[in-house]
Amino acid sequence: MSKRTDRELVDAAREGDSEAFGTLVRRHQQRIYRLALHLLRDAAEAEDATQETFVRAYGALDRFDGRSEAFTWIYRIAVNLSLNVIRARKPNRKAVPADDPRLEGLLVETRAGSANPLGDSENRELGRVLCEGMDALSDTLRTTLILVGVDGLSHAQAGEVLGCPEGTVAWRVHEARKKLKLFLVERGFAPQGEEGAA
Amino acid sequence: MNDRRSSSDLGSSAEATLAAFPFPERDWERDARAIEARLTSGLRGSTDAALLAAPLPGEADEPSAVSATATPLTNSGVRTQSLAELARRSVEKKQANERQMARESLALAAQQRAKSPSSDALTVPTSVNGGDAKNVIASGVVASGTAPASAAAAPAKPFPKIALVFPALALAAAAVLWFRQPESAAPTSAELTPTPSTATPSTLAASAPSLAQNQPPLAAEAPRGIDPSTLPAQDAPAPDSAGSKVAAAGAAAPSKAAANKPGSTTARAAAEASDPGLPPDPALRPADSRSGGLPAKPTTGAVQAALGSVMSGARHCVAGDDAPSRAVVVFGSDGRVQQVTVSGSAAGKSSASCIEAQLSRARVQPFAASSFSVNATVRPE
Repeated sequence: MSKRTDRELVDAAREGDSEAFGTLVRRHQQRIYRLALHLLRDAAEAEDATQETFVRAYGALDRFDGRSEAFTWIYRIAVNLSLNVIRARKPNRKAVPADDPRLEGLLVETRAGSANPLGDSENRELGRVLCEGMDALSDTLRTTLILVGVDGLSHAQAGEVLGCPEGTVAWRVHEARKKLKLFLVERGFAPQGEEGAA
Repeated sequence: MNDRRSSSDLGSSAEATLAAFPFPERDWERDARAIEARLTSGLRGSTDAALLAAPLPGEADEPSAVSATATPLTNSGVRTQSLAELARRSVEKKQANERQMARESLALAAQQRAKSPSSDALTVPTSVNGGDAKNVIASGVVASGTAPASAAAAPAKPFPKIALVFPALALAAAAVLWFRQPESAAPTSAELTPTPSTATPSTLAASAPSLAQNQPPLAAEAPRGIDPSTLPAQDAPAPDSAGSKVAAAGAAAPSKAAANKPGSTTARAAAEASDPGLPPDPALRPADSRSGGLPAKPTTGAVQAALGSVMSGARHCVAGDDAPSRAVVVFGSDGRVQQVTVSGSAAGKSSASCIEAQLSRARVQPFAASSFSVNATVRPE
Protein backbone atom coordinates (compact mmCIF):
# COMPACT_ATOMS: atom_id res chain seq x y z
CA MET A 1 0.00 0.00 0.00
CA SER A 2 1.39 3.38 -0.96
CA LYS A 3 2.18 5.94 1.66
CA ARG A 4 -0.74 8.23 2.34
CA THR A 5 -0.27 11.90 1.64
CA ASP A 6 -0.69 14.55 4.30
CA ARG A 7 -3.89 15.65 2.69
CA GLU A 8 -5.31 12.16 2.79
CA LEU A 9 -4.31 11.85 6.42
CA VAL A 10 -6.03 15.13 7.22
CA ASP A 11 -9.15 14.04 5.38
CA ALA A 12 -9.16 10.75 7.27
CA ALA A 13 -8.58 12.46 10.61
CA ARG A 14 -11.46 14.78 9.91
CA GLU A 15 -13.68 11.77 9.57
CA GLY A 16 -12.57 10.53 12.96
CA ASP A 17 -9.57 8.38 12.08
CA SER A 18 -7.31 9.15 15.03
CA GLU A 19 -4.67 6.78 13.73
CA ALA A 20 -4.33 8.94 10.65
CA PHE A 21 -3.64 11.97 12.77
CA GLY A 22 -1.11 9.93 14.75
CA THR A 23 0.69 9.20 11.50
CA LEU A 24 0.72 12.90 10.76
CA VAL A 25 2.19 13.59 14.21
CA ARG A 26 4.97 11.06 13.76
CA ARG A 27 5.74 12.37 10.31
CA HIS A 28 6.24 15.98 11.34
CA GLN A 29 6.96 16.13 15.05
CA GLN A 30 10.73 16.24 14.69
CA ARG A 31 10.67 19.19 12.33
CA ILE A 32 8.14 20.99 14.48
CA TYR A 33 10.26 20.36 17.54
CA ARG A 34 13.38 21.65 15.83
CA LEU A 35 11.53 24.76 14.70
CA ALA A 36 10.22 25.39 18.21
CA LEU A 37 13.63 24.73 19.70
CA HIS A 38 15.26 27.35 17.50
CA LEU A 39 12.50 29.84 18.10
CA LEU A 40 12.24 29.30 21.86
CA ARG A 41 15.79 28.25 22.75
CA ASP A 42 14.39 26.10 25.53
CA ALA A 43 13.98 22.34 25.29
CA ALA A 44 11.09 22.07 27.72
CA GLU A 45 9.20 24.93 26.11
CA ALA A 46 9.89 23.45 22.68
CA GLU A 47 8.47 20.11 23.80
CA ASP A 48 5.35 21.79 25.15
CA ALA A 49 4.99 23.88 22.03
CA THR A 50 5.31 20.80 19.81
CA GLN A 51 2.66 18.94 21.75
CA GLU A 52 0.39 21.95 21.81
CA THR A 53 0.86 22.49 18.08
CA PHE A 54 -0.58 19.11 17.20
CA VAL A 55 -3.36 19.36 19.75
CA ARG A 56 -4.39 22.76 18.33
CA ALA A 57 -4.06 21.47 14.77
CA TYR A 58 -6.39 18.61 15.65
CA GLY A 59 -8.81 21.12 17.12
CA ALA A 60 -8.75 23.13 13.90
CA LEU A 61 -8.94 20.27 11.43
CA ASP A 62 -12.34 21.38 10.19
CA ARG A 63 -10.90 24.76 9.30
CA PHE A 64 -8.10 23.40 7.16
CA ASP A 65 -9.29 24.55 3.75
CA GLY A 66 -6.62 22.81 1.71
CA ARG A 67 -5.22 25.98 0.21
CA SER A 68 -1.80 25.12 1.53
CA GLU A 69 0.12 22.00 2.37
CA ALA A 70 -0.91 20.39 5.63
CA PHE A 71 2.59 20.62 7.05
CA THR A 72 2.91 24.34 6.31
CA TRP A 73 -0.45 24.81 8.01
CA ILE A 74 0.86 22.97 11.07
CA TYR A 75 4.07 25.00 10.89
CA ARG A 76 2.06 28.18 11.05
CA ILE A 77 0.38 27.02 14.22
CA ALA A 78 3.77 26.13 15.68
CA VAL A 79 5.19 29.56 14.82
CA ASN A 80 2.19 31.32 16.34
CA LEU A 81 2.38 29.28 19.53
CA SER A 82 6.12 29.84 19.84
CA LEU A 83 5.74 33.57 19.32
CA ASN A 84 3.03 33.63 21.96
CA VAL A 85 5.45 32.00 24.40
CA ILE A 86 8.18 34.49 23.51
CA ARG A 87 5.83 37.43 23.99
CA ALA A 88 4.73 36.09 27.34
CA ARG A 89 8.31 35.92 28.57
CA LYS A 90 9.97 38.63 30.54
CA PRO A 91 12.66 40.31 28.45
CA ASN A 92 15.52 38.68 30.32
CA ARG A 93 16.99 36.41 27.70
CA LYS A 94 19.44 38.46 25.77
CA ALA A 95 22.50 36.24 26.00
CA VAL A 96 22.60 32.66 24.88
CA PRO A 97 22.63 30.50 28.02
CA ALA A 98 25.41 27.99 28.51
CA ASP A 99 22.93 25.13 28.34
CA ASP A 100 21.40 26.35 25.11
CA PRO A 101 19.76 23.22 23.68
CA ARG A 102 20.83 24.20 20.18
CA LEU A 103 24.48 24.08 21.27
CA GLU A 104 23.85 20.85 23.10
CA GLY A 105 22.88 19.29 19.83
CA LEU A 106 25.98 20.68 18.19
CA LEU A 107 28.11 19.25 20.99
CA VAL A 108 26.66 15.79 20.56
CA GLU A 109 27.14 16.01 16.83
CA THR A 110 30.81 17.02 17.00
CA ARG A 111 31.60 14.53 19.74
CA ALA A 112 30.52 11.67 17.54
CA GLY A 113 33.27 12.36 15.01
CA SER A 114 36.03 13.85 17.15
CA ALA A 115 38.97 13.27 14.83
CA ASN A 116 39.77 16.95 15.02
CA PRO A 117 39.20 18.31 18.53
CA LEU A 118 40.41 21.76 17.51
CA GLY A 119 37.99 21.83 14.61
CA ASP A 120 35.21 20.67 16.90
CA SER A 121 35.97 23.48 19.26
CA GLU A 122 35.91 26.00 16.43
CA ASN A 123 32.65 24.59 15.14
CA ARG A 124 31.07 24.86 18.55
CA GLU A 125 32.24 28.42 18.84
CA LEU A 126 30.92 29.17 15.38
CA GLY A 127 27.62 27.56 16.32
CA ARG A 128 27.44 29.65 19.48
CA VAL A 129 28.11 32.89 17.60
CA LEU A 130 25.60 31.88 14.93
CA CYS A 131 23.00 31.36 17.63
CA GLU A 132 23.81 34.73 19.14
CA GLY A 133 23.59 36.37 15.77
CA MET A 134 20.23 34.77 15.05
CA ASP A 135 18.94 35.82 18.45
CA ALA A 136 19.93 39.39 17.66
CA LEU A 137 17.64 39.43 14.65
CA SER A 138 14.07 40.61 14.81
CA ASP A 139 11.41 37.95 15.30
CA THR A 140 10.37 38.33 11.68
CA LEU A 141 13.84 37.92 10.20
CA ARG A 142 14.81 35.21 12.67
CA THR A 143 11.71 33.14 12.05
CA THR A 144 12.06 33.44 8.30
CA LEU A 145 15.74 32.50 8.43
CA ILE A 146 15.01 29.49 10.63
CA LEU A 147 12.30 28.28 8.30
CA VAL A 148 14.41 28.65 5.17
CA GLY A 149 18.03 28.45 6.31
CA VAL A 150 17.78 25.90 9.12
CA ASP A 151 14.68 23.92 8.36
CA GLY A 152 15.15 23.93 4.59
CA LEU A 153 11.71 25.13 3.53
CA SER A 154 11.46 26.64 0.08
CA HIS A 155 10.56 30.31 -0.23
CA ALA A 156 7.10 29.31 -1.38
CA GLN A 157 6.57 27.04 1.60
CA ALA A 158 7.90 29.65 4.02
CA GLY A 159 5.59 32.16 2.36
CA GLU A 160 2.65 29.84 3.07
CA VAL A 161 3.69 29.51 6.70
CA LEU A 162 4.20 33.23 7.20
CA GLY A 163 1.37 34.40 4.97
CA CYS A 164 3.51 36.53 2.72
CA PRO A 165 4.71 36.36 -0.90
CA GLU A 166 7.82 34.49 -1.92
CA GLY A 167 9.52 37.76 -2.79
CA THR A 168 9.09 38.96 0.76
CA VAL A 169 10.55 35.73 2.08
CA ALA A 170 13.52 36.14 -0.27
CA TRP A 171 14.06 39.69 0.91
CA ARG A 172 13.86 38.72 4.57
CA VAL A 173 16.27 35.83 4.14
CA HIS A 174 18.70 38.10 2.34
CA GLU A 175 18.44 40.75 5.06
CA ALA A 176 18.82 38.19 7.82
CA ARG A 177 21.88 36.68 6.19
CA LYS A 178 23.41 40.10 5.64
CA LYS A 179 22.99 41.00 9.29
CA LEU A 180 24.20 37.59 10.40
CA LYS A 181 27.27 37.93 8.22
CA LEU A 182 28.06 41.30 9.73
CA PHE A 183 27.64 39.81 13.20
CA LEU A 184 30.04 36.98 12.36
CA VAL A 185 32.63 39.29 10.84
CA GLU A 186 32.55 41.55 13.89
CA ARG A 187 33.35 38.51 16.01
CA GLY A 188 36.22 37.34 13.86
CA PHE A 189 34.46 34.77 11.71
CA ALA A 190 35.28 35.98 8.22
CA PRO A 191 33.35 34.21 5.48
CA GLN A 192 35.18 31.30 3.94
CA GLY A 193 34.47 29.22 0.90
CA GLU A 194 34.36 31.17 -2.33
CA GLU A 195 37.43 33.18 -1.43
CA GLY A 196 39.18 30.01 -0.28
CA ALA A 197 39.11 28.49 3.12
CA ALA A 198 41.65 29.66 5.65
CA MET B 1 23.76 39.54 -8.75
CA ASN B 2 27.02 38.18 -7.44
CA ASP B 3 27.24 41.26 -5.26
CA ARG B 4 23.83 40.48 -3.92
CA ARG B 5 24.81 36.93 -3.07
CA SER B 6 28.21 37.76 -1.68
CA SER B 7 26.75 40.43 0.55
CA SER B 8 24.79 37.75 2.39
CA ASP B 9 27.05 34.74 2.00
CA LEU B 10 28.03 33.52 5.44
CA GLY B 11 30.93 31.35 4.32
CA SER B 12 31.08 27.63 3.89
CA SER B 13 31.48 26.67 7.58
CA ALA B 14 28.71 28.92 8.81
CA GLU B 15 26.43 27.90 5.95
CA ALA B 16 27.03 24.23 6.71
CA THR B 17 26.37 24.74 10.40
CA LEU B 18 23.23 26.72 9.68
CA ALA B 19 21.85 24.21 7.21
CA ALA B 20 22.56 21.19 9.37
CA PHE B 21 21.93 22.49 12.85
CA PRO B 22 21.58 19.31 14.89
CA PHE B 23 19.16 18.90 17.73
CA PRO B 24 19.17 16.45 20.61
CA GLU B 25 17.60 13.12 19.95
CA ARG B 26 14.45 12.36 21.86
CA ASP B 27 12.10 9.49 22.38
CA TRP B 28 9.83 10.56 19.55
CA GLU B 29 7.45 7.63 19.94
CA ARG B 30 6.83 8.55 23.56
CA ASP B 31 6.23 12.16 22.53
CA ALA B 32 3.80 11.07 19.82
CA ARG B 33 1.86 8.91 22.27
CA ALA B 34 1.69 11.80 24.68
CA ILE B 35 0.16 13.92 21.94
CA GLU B 36 -2.28 11.21 20.92
CA ALA B 37 -3.39 10.86 24.52
CA ARG B 38 -4.48 14.47 24.48
CA LEU B 39 -6.54 14.16 21.33
CA THR B 40 -10.20 13.89 22.17
CA SER B 41 -13.25 14.53 20.09
CA GLY B 42 -14.12 17.44 22.35
CA LEU B 43 -11.09 19.29 21.03
CA ARG B 44 -12.54 19.66 17.57
CA GLY B 45 -13.34 23.26 16.80
CA SER B 46 -11.75 24.55 19.98
CA THR B 47 -8.67 26.12 18.41
CA ASP B 48 -8.44 29.87 18.45
CA ALA B 49 -8.56 31.35 14.94
CA ALA B 50 -5.63 33.62 15.79
CA LEU B 51 -3.34 30.61 15.71
CA LEU B 52 -4.22 30.07 12.07
CA ALA B 53 -3.52 33.64 11.04
CA ALA B 54 -0.33 34.93 9.46
CA PRO B 55 2.07 35.09 12.36
CA LEU B 56 4.45 37.99 11.88
CA PRO B 57 4.30 41.63 10.85
CA GLY B 58 6.51 42.87 8.05
CA GLU B 59 9.84 44.48 8.73
CA ALA B 60 9.90 48.26 9.07
CA ASP B 61 12.17 48.68 6.06
CA GLU B 62 10.62 45.89 4.06
CA PRO B 63 10.00 47.17 0.55
CA SER B 64 6.32 47.07 -0.26
CA ALA B 65 7.07 46.24 -3.90
CA VAL B 66 8.58 42.97 -2.79
CA SER B 67 5.37 42.03 -1.08
CA ALA B 68 3.32 43.10 -4.03
CA THR B 69 5.23 41.46 -6.83
CA ALA B 70 6.31 38.30 -5.10
CA THR B 71 9.09 37.61 -7.54
CA PRO B 72 11.41 35.06 -6.03
CA LEU B 73 15.16 34.99 -6.29
CA THR B 74 16.75 32.23 -8.25
CA ASN B 75 19.80 30.43 -7.01
CA SER B 76 21.95 32.85 -8.91
CA GLY B 77 20.33 35.80 -7.19
CA VAL B 78 18.46 37.03 -10.25
CA ARG B 79 14.94 38.19 -9.58
CA THR B 80 12.65 36.35 -11.95
CA GLN B 81 9.41 37.59 -13.45
CA SER B 82 6.47 35.46 -14.34
CA LEU B 83 5.43 35.20 -17.96
CA ALA B 84 2.02 36.53 -17.01
CA GLU B 85 3.58 39.68 -15.60
CA LEU B 86 5.71 40.18 -18.69
CA ALA B 87 2.73 39.64 -20.98
CA ARG B 88 0.60 42.08 -19.01
CA ARG B 89 3.26 44.77 -19.16
CA SER B 90 3.77 44.22 -22.85
CA VAL B 91 0.06 44.60 -23.60
CA GLU B 92 -0.23 47.70 -21.45
CA LYS B 93 2.76 49.30 -23.14
CA LYS B 94 1.38 48.47 -26.56
CA GLN B 95 -1.99 49.97 -25.74
CA ALA B 96 -0.41 53.13 -24.44
CA ASN B 97 1.67 53.47 -27.58
CA GLU B 98 -1.33 53.02 -29.84
CA ARG B 99 -3.37 55.60 -27.98
CA GLN B 100 -0.52 58.05 -28.07
CA MET B 101 -0.02 57.55 -31.80
CA ALA B 102 -3.72 57.96 -32.50
CA ARG B 103 -3.82 61.20 -30.56
CA GLU B 104 -0.73 62.51 -32.29
CA SER B 105 -2.11 61.70 -35.70
CA LEU B 106 -5.40 63.40 -34.87
CA ALA B 107 -3.66 66.49 -33.63
CA LEU B 108 -1.47 66.51 -36.70
CA ALA B 109 -4.45 66.19 -38.97
CA ALA B 110 -6.24 69.01 -37.18
CA GLN B 111 -3.20 71.20 -37.43
CA GLN B 112 -2.91 70.39 -41.09
CA ARG B 113 -6.52 71.25 -41.71
CA ALA B 114 -6.16 74.56 -39.95
CA LYS B 115 -3.22 75.43 -42.15
CA SER B 116 -4.88 74.33 -45.37
CA PRO B 117 -6.19 77.34 -47.35
CA SER B 118 -8.87 75.32 -49.12
CA SER B 119 -10.45 73.93 -46.00
CA ASP B 120 -12.61 76.97 -45.36
CA ALA B 121 -14.05 76.92 -48.83
CA LEU B 122 -15.19 73.35 -48.65
CA THR B 123 -18.57 72.43 -47.33
CA VAL B 124 -18.29 68.67 -47.14
CA PRO B 125 -18.58 68.03 -43.41
CA THR B 126 -16.70 64.74 -43.25
CA SER B 127 -13.89 64.47 -45.67
CA VAL B 128 -12.37 61.48 -47.33
CA ASN B 129 -9.25 62.02 -45.36
CA GLY B 130 -11.35 62.52 -42.32
CA GLY B 131 -12.56 59.06 -43.02
CA ASP B 132 -8.99 58.00 -43.40
CA ALA B 133 -8.22 59.47 -40.05
CA LYS B 134 -11.05 57.49 -38.63
CA ASN B 135 -9.69 54.44 -40.33
CA VAL B 136 -6.41 54.95 -38.66
CA ILE B 137 -7.93 55.59 -35.29
CA ALA B 138 -10.42 52.81 -35.30
CA SER B 139 -8.61 50.13 -37.19
CA GLY B 140 -5.21 51.38 -38.07
CA VAL B 141 -5.65 50.69 -41.78
CA VAL B 142 -5.20 53.41 -44.33
CA ALA B 143 -7.19 53.41 -47.51
CA SER B 144 -4.41 54.97 -49.45
CA GLY B 145 -6.24 55.32 -52.71
CA THR B 146 -9.19 57.26 -51.43
CA ALA B 147 -8.00 60.82 -51.99
CA PRO B 148 -5.12 61.17 -54.38
CA ALA B 149 -6.02 64.70 -55.37
CA SER B 150 -6.15 66.01 -51.84
CA ALA B 151 -2.84 64.32 -51.14
CA ALA B 152 -1.33 66.23 -53.98
CA ALA B 153 -2.78 69.46 -52.67
CA ALA B 154 -1.45 68.99 -49.16
CA PRO B 155 1.70 70.67 -47.94
CA ALA B 156 4.67 68.36 -47.97
CA LYS B 157 6.01 68.90 -44.50
CA PRO B 158 3.78 66.70 -42.28
CA PHE B 159 3.77 63.85 -44.74
CA PRO B 160 6.92 62.11 -43.60
CA LYS B 161 5.47 61.89 -40.10
CA ILE B 162 2.15 60.64 -41.34
CA ALA B 163 3.87 58.22 -43.65
CA LEU B 164 5.68 56.79 -40.65
CA VAL B 165 2.77 56.87 -38.24
CA PHE B 166 0.13 55.32 -40.45
CA PRO B 167 1.99 52.15 -41.43
CA ALA B 168 3.02 51.68 -37.81
CA LEU B 169 -0.58 51.98 -36.73
CA ALA B 170 -1.62 49.61 -39.47
CA LEU B 171 0.90 47.03 -38.33
CA ALA B 172 -0.11 47.41 -34.71
CA ALA B 173 -3.78 47.06 -35.51
CA ALA B 174 -3.14 44.04 -37.69
CA ALA B 175 -1.25 42.41 -34.85
CA VAL B 176 -4.03 43.24 -32.43
CA LEU B 177 -6.64 41.86 -34.81
CA TRP B 178 -4.67 38.71 -35.24
CA PHE B 179 -4.34 38.04 -31.54
CA ARG B 180 -7.72 39.27 -30.35
CA GLN B 181 -10.03 37.76 -32.94
CA PRO B 182 -13.09 36.63 -30.96
CA GLU B 183 -14.32 33.14 -31.71
CA SER B 184 -17.96 33.58 -30.87
CA ALA B 185 -18.31 36.73 -32.95
CA ALA B 186 -16.37 35.39 -35.89
CA PRO B 187 -18.89 36.25 -38.63
CA THR B 188 -19.41 39.73 -37.28
CA SER B 189 -15.75 40.39 -36.83
CA ALA B 190 -15.13 39.15 -40.34
CA GLU B 191 -17.58 41.73 -41.55
CA LEU B 192 -15.93 44.35 -39.43
CA THR B 193 -12.44 43.51 -40.52
CA PRO B 194 -11.06 46.57 -42.19
CA THR B 195 -10.46 46.52 -45.90
CA PRO B 196 -6.81 46.06 -46.79
CA SER B 197 -4.84 49.18 -47.42
CA THR B 198 -4.65 48.48 -51.13
CA ALA B 199 -8.40 48.90 -51.51
CA THR B 200 -9.47 51.49 -54.02
CA PRO B 201 -12.70 53.42 -54.03
CA SER B 202 -14.00 51.26 -56.81
CA THR B 203 -13.35 48.03 -54.97
CA LEU B 204 -14.88 49.49 -51.89
CA ALA B 205 -17.93 50.45 -53.81
CA ALA B 206 -18.11 47.00 -55.33
CA SER B 207 -17.93 45.35 -51.97
CA ALA B 208 -20.57 47.65 -50.60
CA PRO B 209 -23.21 48.02 -53.24
CA SER B 210 -25.66 49.63 -50.88
CA LEU B 211 -23.17 52.39 -50.32
CA ALA B 212 -22.19 52.73 -53.92
CA GLN B 213 -25.70 53.45 -55.00
CA ASN B 214 -26.62 57.11 -55.41
CA GLN B 215 -23.17 58.27 -54.51
CA PRO B 216 -21.25 60.80 -56.52
CA PRO B 217 -17.58 60.19 -57.29
CA LEU B 218 -15.08 61.05 -54.64
CA ALA B 219 -14.61 64.73 -54.11
CA ALA B 220 -11.18 65.47 -55.37
CA GLU B 221 -11.06 68.70 -53.45
CA ALA B 222 -12.09 67.18 -50.19
CA PRO B 223 -10.38 68.87 -47.27
CA ARG B 224 -7.43 67.16 -45.75
CA GLY B 225 -7.39 66.05 -42.16
CA ILE B 226 -10.04 66.31 -39.55
CA ASP B 227 -10.68 68.71 -36.76
CA PRO B 228 -11.51 66.76 -33.61
CA SER B 229 -13.32 69.71 -32.12
CA THR B 230 -15.85 69.63 -34.92
CA LEU B 231 -16.48 65.93 -34.85
CA PRO B 232 -19.31 65.71 -32.33
CA ALA B 233 -21.27 68.29 -34.28
CA GLN B 234 -21.12 66.05 -37.33
CA ASP B 235 -22.95 63.26 -35.65
CA ALA B 236 -26.01 63.81 -37.80
CA PRO B 237 -26.01 61.86 -41.07
CA ALA B 238 -24.75 63.76 -44.07
CA PRO B 239 -26.49 62.52 -47.17
CA ASP B 240 -24.01 64.06 -49.55
CA SER B 241 -20.86 63.00 -47.74
CA ALA B 242 -19.86 60.43 -50.25
CA GLY B 243 -16.30 60.37 -49.17
CA SER B 244 -17.20 59.67 -45.62
CA LYS B 245 -19.43 56.82 -46.68
CA VAL B 246 -16.74 55.19 -48.74
CA ALA B 247 -14.20 55.74 -46.06
CA ALA B 248 -16.52 54.29 -43.47
CA ALA B 249 -17.10 51.30 -45.67
CA GLY B 250 -13.41 50.81 -46.11
CA ALA B 251 -12.69 51.25 -42.47
CA ALA B 252 -15.38 49.62 -40.49
CA ALA B 253 -17.96 47.49 -42.22
CA PRO B 254 -20.20 47.27 -45.20
CA SER B 255 -22.88 46.34 -42.75
CA LYS B 256 -26.31 47.80 -42.54
CA ALA B 257 -25.62 49.83 -39.47
CA ALA B 258 -22.59 51.40 -40.98
CA ALA B 259 -24.33 51.97 -44.25
CA ASN B 260 -27.21 53.73 -42.60
CA LYS B 261 -25.08 56.13 -40.60
CA PRO B 262 -21.72 56.43 -42.23
CA GLY B 263 -21.15 59.98 -41.14
CA SER B 264 -21.92 59.25 -37.55
CA THR B 265 -19.71 56.19 -37.65
CA THR B 266 -16.76 58.22 -38.71
CA ALA B 267 -17.45 60.99 -36.30
CA ARG B 268 -18.09 58.74 -33.33
CA ALA B 269 -15.04 56.60 -33.88
CA ALA B 270 -12.84 59.62 -34.23
CA ALA B 271 -14.43 61.22 -31.21
CA GLU B 272 -13.85 58.07 -29.21
CA ALA B 273 -10.26 58.04 -30.25
CA SER B 274 -9.83 61.64 -29.19
CA ASP B 275 -11.73 61.04 -25.96
CA PRO B 276 -11.13 57.59 -24.54
CA GLY B 277 -13.67 58.27 -21.83
CA LEU B 278 -16.60 57.96 -24.23
CA PRO B 279 -18.49 54.69 -23.95
CA PRO B 280 -17.76 52.35 -26.82
CA ASP B 281 -20.49 51.40 -29.24
CA PRO B 282 -19.83 47.75 -30.07
CA ALA B 283 -21.93 47.93 -33.23
CA LEU B 284 -19.83 50.68 -34.68
CA ARG B 285 -16.33 49.58 -33.88
CA PRO B 286 -14.18 46.55 -34.52
CA ALA B 287 -14.64 43.87 -31.94
CA ASP B 288 -11.11 44.25 -30.76
CA SER B 289 -10.78 47.99 -30.87
CA ARG B 290 -8.23 49.09 -28.34
CA SER B 291 -8.87 52.82 -28.39
CA GLY B 292 -10.31 53.02 -24.90
CA GLY B 293 -13.05 50.39 -25.38
CA LEU B 294 -13.42 46.83 -24.17
CA PRO B 295 -12.61 43.73 -26.18
CA ALA B 296 -15.52 41.39 -26.81
CA LYS B 297 -13.85 38.73 -24.72
CA PRO B 298 -10.45 38.11 -23.14
CA THR B 299 -7.74 36.94 -25.48
CA THR B 300 -6.47 33.40 -25.36
CA GLY B 301 -3.11 34.67 -24.26
CA ALA B 302 -4.60 36.72 -21.44
CA VAL B 303 -6.64 33.78 -20.21
CA GLN B 304 -3.66 31.47 -20.40
CA ALA B 305 -1.53 33.97 -18.54
CA ALA B 306 -4.19 34.49 -15.89
CA LEU B 307 -4.70 30.79 -15.32
CA GLY B 308 -0.99 30.10 -15.54
CA SER B 309 -0.32 32.48 -12.71
CA VAL B 310 -2.60 30.54 -10.35
CA MET B 311 -2.11 27.05 -11.73
CA SER B 312 0.87 26.22 -9.53
CA GLY B 313 -1.27 26.85 -6.47
CA ALA B 314 -4.01 24.70 -7.91
CA ARG B 315 -1.55 21.92 -8.57
CA HIS B 316 -0.55 22.01 -4.92
CA CYS B 317 -4.15 21.16 -4.12
CA VAL B 318 -4.00 17.88 -6.00
CA ALA B 319 -0.50 16.89 -4.96
CA GLY B 320 -0.50 13.16 -4.49
CA ASP B 321 -3.48 12.52 -6.72
CA ASP B 322 -3.02 10.05 -9.53
CA ALA B 323 -5.38 11.49 -12.10
CA PRO B 324 -5.75 15.08 -13.23
CA SER B 325 -8.78 17.15 -12.33
CA ARG B 326 -10.70 19.47 -14.57
CA ALA B 327 -12.20 22.82 -13.87
CA VAL B 328 -14.53 25.11 -15.77
CA VAL B 329 -13.63 28.69 -14.96
CA VAL B 330 -16.22 31.36 -15.71
CA PHE B 331 -14.95 34.94 -15.93
CA GLY B 332 -17.32 37.83 -15.47
CA SER B 333 -17.21 40.92 -17.62
CA ASP B 334 -15.17 42.71 -14.94
CA GLY B 335 -12.37 40.20 -15.49
CA ARG B 336 -12.87 38.40 -12.20
CA VAL B 337 -13.70 34.76 -11.84
CA GLN B 338 -17.40 34.26 -11.22
CA GLN B 339 -17.52 30.53 -10.84
CA VAL B 340 -15.24 27.51 -10.80
CA THR B 341 -16.64 24.03 -11.25
CA VAL B 342 -14.29 21.17 -10.48
CA SER B 343 -14.69 17.70 -11.91
CA GLY B 344 -12.45 14.68 -12.13
CA SER B 345 -10.49 13.09 -9.33
CA ALA B 346 -10.68 16.10 -6.99
CA ALA B 347 -14.46 16.44 -7.25
CA GLY B 348 -16.18 16.06 -3.93
CA LYS B 349 -12.96 16.23 -1.95
CA SER B 350 -11.48 19.05 0.06
CA SER B 351 -9.04 19.60 -2.75
CA ALA B 352 -11.94 20.73 -4.95
CA SER B 353 -12.53 23.77 -2.75
CA CYS B 354 -8.80 24.36 -2.74
CA ILE B 355 -8.73 24.35 -6.53
CA GLU B 356 -11.71 26.67 -6.63
CA ALA B 357 -10.01 29.06 -4.25
CA GLN B 358 -6.81 29.04 -6.25
CA LEU B 359 -8.38 29.45 -9.66
CA SER B 360 -10.70 32.16 -8.37
CA ARG B 361 -7.65 34.36 -7.97
CA ALA B 362 -7.18 34.54 -11.75
CA ARG B 363 -7.89 37.92 -13.33
CA VAL B 364 -8.19 39.04 -16.92
CA GLN B 365 -8.86 42.46 -18.33
CA PRO B 366 -12.51 43.53 -18.38
CA PHE B 367 -14.36 42.60 -21.54
CA ALA B 368 -17.66 43.39 -23.20
CA ALA B 369 -19.36 39.99 -23.12
CA SER B 370 -21.37 39.11 -20.03
CA SER B 371 -19.21 36.10 -19.20
CA PHE B 372 -16.57 33.89 -20.66
CA SER B 373 -15.82 30.31 -19.64
CA VAL B 374 -12.70 28.27 -20.17
CA ASN B 375 -11.73 24.70 -19.35
CA ALA B 376 -8.61 24.06 -17.34
CA THR B 377 -6.88 20.84 -16.45
CA VAL B 378 -5.15 20.62 -13.09
CA ARG B 379 -2.52 17.95 -13.13
CA PRO B 380 -0.93 16.68 -9.93
CA GLU B 381 2.59 17.85 -9.26
